[in-house]
Amino acid sequence: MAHYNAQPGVIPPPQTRWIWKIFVYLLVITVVEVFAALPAVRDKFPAPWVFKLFLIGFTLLKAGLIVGAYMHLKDEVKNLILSVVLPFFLIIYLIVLMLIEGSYVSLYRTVIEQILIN
Amino acid sequence: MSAHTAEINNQKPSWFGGVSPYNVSYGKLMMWFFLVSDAFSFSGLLIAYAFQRFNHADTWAVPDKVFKSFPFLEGEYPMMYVGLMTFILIMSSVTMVLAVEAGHRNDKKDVIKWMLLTIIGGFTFLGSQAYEWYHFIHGTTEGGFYEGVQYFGANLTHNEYGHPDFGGFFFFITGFHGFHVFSGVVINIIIFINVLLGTYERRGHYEMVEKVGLYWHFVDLVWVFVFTFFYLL
Repeated sequence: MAHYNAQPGVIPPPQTRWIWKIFVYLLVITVVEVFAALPAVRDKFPAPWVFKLFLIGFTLLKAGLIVGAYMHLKDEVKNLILSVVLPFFLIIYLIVLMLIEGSYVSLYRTVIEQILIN
Repeated sequence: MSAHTAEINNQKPSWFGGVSPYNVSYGKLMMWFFLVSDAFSFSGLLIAYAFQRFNHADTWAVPDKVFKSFPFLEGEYPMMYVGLMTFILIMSSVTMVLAVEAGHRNDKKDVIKWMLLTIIGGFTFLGSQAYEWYHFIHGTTEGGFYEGVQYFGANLTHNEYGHPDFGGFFFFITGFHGFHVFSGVVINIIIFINVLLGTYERRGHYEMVEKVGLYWHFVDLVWVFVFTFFYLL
């Protein structure tokens, strides 16, 4: 990321522009997220799942910026990057499964209730 | 080591010993593995929350209507303070990166400056979370109804905002995260004291600051996910 001249005893000046650049990206993304989550704006999305996908997408983008740039993961050996990133695809798969499962259980419960009432 | 082994070690990442295959120190690699495992823990909690939230979507609390208070201000500011908390934590992550960057340059003064700001940011976040818990538990004067019974405030079994499980999930997820923030602040203070004492200057490198920075960024990252899945979705 940064290359410093190794002069003994002399402290190089800071190279921090990239840090503040990433911070601005994170701030803008967060502001857009909170703005989109306001009830008045949220209803303008074509469907609820579009809004959710939008939010999740932005969150993953923020996560990618923090992990890749701030935690220096993108500078690491490729196999280390994979060791950290691959489990997260499994987690995302599990999240999707649980969302589907939750909706199914809710529907099933409603059906059973109807049957018991009748 | 024989010459033959040395040749293999020079070509590409080697699993034959004597060199780290990932080109990182033991401490840093173990920190990464710990962070991945801790991410699993938080993912488990958030997935359980997502399941239950969609299971009882009709009676689940709406975070906009729950988190409305702002310190020192009268009136309702839905989600404003939580947004500010997110900003504070992201800022503390930025100051942490700046501390790590200063460590790469062996600039002790700058490391001290940025780490101090990170610690202050951490404490501010903890105080804010305590404020949110207080108002969540205390509730409103009107209270709320669930299945015909009126409740005021929130505890682990019932709350005025919606489905009973909302309270338990709120306390557990934000509490577990807050505990991580607290331990992160404590660890940051220990490393900060070491920086002041010149331990890393004598050692010749500030990698400890970098490892602790990884943990702090992880704590920030978890909050980003909690903020999205719990408060926004």
